[in-house]
Amino acid sequence: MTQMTRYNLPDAFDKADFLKQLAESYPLQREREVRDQAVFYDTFDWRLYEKGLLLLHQDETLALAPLKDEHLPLCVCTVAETPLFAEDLPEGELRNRLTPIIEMRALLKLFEKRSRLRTLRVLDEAQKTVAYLALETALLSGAGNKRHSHTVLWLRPLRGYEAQAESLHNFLSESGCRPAGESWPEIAAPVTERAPGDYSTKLRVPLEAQQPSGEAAKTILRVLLSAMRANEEGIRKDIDTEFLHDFRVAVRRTRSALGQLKGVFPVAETQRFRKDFSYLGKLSNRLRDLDVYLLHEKEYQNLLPEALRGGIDPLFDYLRVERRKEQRKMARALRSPRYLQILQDWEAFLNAPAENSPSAPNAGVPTGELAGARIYKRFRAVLKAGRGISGASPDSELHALRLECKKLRYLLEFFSSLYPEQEIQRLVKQLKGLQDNLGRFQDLFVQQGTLLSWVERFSAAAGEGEKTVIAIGSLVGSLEAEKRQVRSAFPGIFAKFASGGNKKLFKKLFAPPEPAVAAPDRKGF
Amino acid sequence: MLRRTAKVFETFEVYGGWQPSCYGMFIEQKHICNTTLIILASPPRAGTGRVDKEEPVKIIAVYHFKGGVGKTATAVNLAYLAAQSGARTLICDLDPQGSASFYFRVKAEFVAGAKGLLKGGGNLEKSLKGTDYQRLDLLPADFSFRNLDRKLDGLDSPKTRLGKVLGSLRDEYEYIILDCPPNITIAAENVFHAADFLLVPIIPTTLAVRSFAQLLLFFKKKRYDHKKIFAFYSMVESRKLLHRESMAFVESRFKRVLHTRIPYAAEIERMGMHRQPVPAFSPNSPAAAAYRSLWEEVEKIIKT
Ligand SMILES: Nc1ncnc2c1ncn2[C@@H]1O[C@H](COP(=O)(O)OP(=O)(O)OP(=O)(O)O)[C@@H](O)[C@H]1O
Ligand SMILES: [Mg+2]
Repeated sequence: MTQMTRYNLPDAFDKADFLKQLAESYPLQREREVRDQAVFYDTFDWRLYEKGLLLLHQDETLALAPLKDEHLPLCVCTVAETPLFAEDLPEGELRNRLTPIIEMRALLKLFEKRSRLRTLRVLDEAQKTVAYLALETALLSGAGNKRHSHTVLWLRPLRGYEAQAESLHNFLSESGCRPAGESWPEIAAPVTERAPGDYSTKLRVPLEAQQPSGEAAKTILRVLLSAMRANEEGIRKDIDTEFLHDFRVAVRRTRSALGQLKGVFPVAETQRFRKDFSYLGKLSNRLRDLDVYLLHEKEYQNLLPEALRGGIDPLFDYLRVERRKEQRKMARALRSPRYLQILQDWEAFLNAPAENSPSAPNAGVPTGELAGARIYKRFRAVLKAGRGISGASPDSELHALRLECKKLRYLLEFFSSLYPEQEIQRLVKQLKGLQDNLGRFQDLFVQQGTLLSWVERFSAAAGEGEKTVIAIGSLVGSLEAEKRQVRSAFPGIFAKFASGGNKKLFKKLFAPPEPAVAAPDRKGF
Repeated sequence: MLRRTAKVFETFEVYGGWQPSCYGMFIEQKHICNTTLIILASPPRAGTGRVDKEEPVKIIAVYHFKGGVGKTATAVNLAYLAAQSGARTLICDLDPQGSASFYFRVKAEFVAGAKGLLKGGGNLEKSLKGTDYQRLDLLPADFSFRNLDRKLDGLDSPKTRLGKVLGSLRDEYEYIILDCPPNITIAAENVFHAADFLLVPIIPTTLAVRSFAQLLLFFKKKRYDHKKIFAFYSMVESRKLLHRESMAFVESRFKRVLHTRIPYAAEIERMGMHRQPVPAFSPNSPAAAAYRSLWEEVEKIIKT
């Protein structure tokens, strides 16, 4: 395999001296210098980097390559410019590979690399090439005026000449060159001002079991606050829908933490901020609803019979107009004095020194104890709510169970660092299966209601309006069919979650030790 | 697939003495449009080292039992052009003289010998050599290949062995080009089995035409698929009346004669001095153009 190796140069690299020594050891042929330019892309949440991939645009070609070697693309396609979304790529392998990874996220330009490449062929006595060496002087530039230059040496072996490549590797090692471990996005961090992987939707909060709960809670909430902040710009600039989505998740997690971590903060503050975050959540409810409809436009179209396909267009045109309005409203809200004040106060509160005030009875409880008790209690609440559900139960019971699951999920995520990773992952996966079922059911339920509420708007108009109304009716029918399917899958999925193995694991990880003596002052969590 | 978009041939001339191989280090393919040099990334070669391709490998043998008719010159140049067009290509030097290996500056030495070649598998993979040109690998010859017939004789399926052995490389290459020695032994019959296409160079002289007729007769007698055979004229000197007459004679009796005629050219003789394919050291020469045209014709036949 002609895998190339990239080497970092030693600190005191003397090019002339290096070339001289190389020429003394190997017959060489110098190639003409080549210039090379490429722009690298990824999503805001580093979906490609996390998967060990690079996406780079070079002249008219967009290439998906392994992180370590941009010269061995996995697939390529010809486009003049990199589109913002995967769906705008020409049909083909690259789009097929990219779509499930980046989904609806926008491709953002990370940095540009302009290189000069000086290639040397290493020859044998017949003047046959046995390996290539190339010195790449790269100038990396980011969005601002930041520049960073980085020089590396590449070694490309040739099939059937492994011994020569090995000898060159040894020569390079002796010259102080080391195989480079870092990828271009990592090298470019000074110009992109972003460390790869610095943002993730996954919550990662390092906590200690012995640390006081008040402190741990603040750590969790600070992470959530920074997630909100990180997404503000993307929402304002309307880059893709997921900035808002992630922002809302951070708000919801914050609200859930404030509600569930009882007694770690003084009552008055808890109440005030719960109200504030409830306001922040509501701010974007409608915008998110519209986003969801528009994201599913194609699926809706596919649900409709051929004859009605066009009928739904007026509805989506209307939704697009509404969305634009809502987006602007949200962008304004993010700059409003009320919003800024809330975040400022919240930040001040989170950064204030830990208090031991009597109004926060659980602030000093070890985090491990609080987390275990809370999670175990929520788990049992989920079991209880789920067990009561039969085929005849009203939809509202599924809704209630969904909320219980969400609380449990958030708790598991907040405190995951306290428990063995594999076991937590297993539990989260099981829970996610259940949540997906319940979430889908809720989605369909809400969508039916919303679709019906739009009927009014179109029923007044003659002609085209009628067709739209019929299309909406047809959609509501299709959604009903799916809803029933989802509901009928519920018992099986729940039974899996409520299995003996899962219960045992929950008990092992979270159940408080059988109390020898009751601890009256630590009740209530 | 990328290589479908590359038009290296049409744009070659724009850039004078440009040699695609020079940039081999980084760029699998260069694409020249007017005066801009557009660098295309390498073809979709998955990290596993396998080619992503829809088509099964095509084996093209350049064969004639007559010696010195331009088989090796053709195999070398076509292999080079196939690789240039974006296809992963392997040229197999089956001739113990090792001329094709020589042209690619590779020592004619197949470590496992004739026996190893017929065993195939790891022996084959270990012996492959990367040439100086992107996407083009070579299976070097070995002096022991002169004993191929004897070695084949002892095997249970002596006439289909080569096809089976090459089959193990089917995922790695789009084209396998065989440079065959001038004989008509069991080894040659292996080639008749293994190859999807047989390119037969004919020098347009009376005796050469007669040998070609003998080859066709042999195919008929042994019931090989003569539709595999495509003839083309080699070392043509169109000033010679004899050449013109001979060509007319063949065409009146045999349908599958390619249009391209490889002229008798000093450039082709000079390959031995340069030890490079003609289009690599003299891209603008008529000889290079002739090979390009020949390859285009062959490619078209393969794809239809
Ligand atoms: N079109 C041509 N014009 C001029 N010289 C040529 C041409 N084709 C081949 N030659 C020269 O003729 C000689 C024989 O050619 P080549 O080796 O290609 O033939 P071959 O059929 O492979 O021979 P063999 O049967 O010995 O393997 C070589 O010196 C080669 O350079
Ligand atoms: Mg020959």
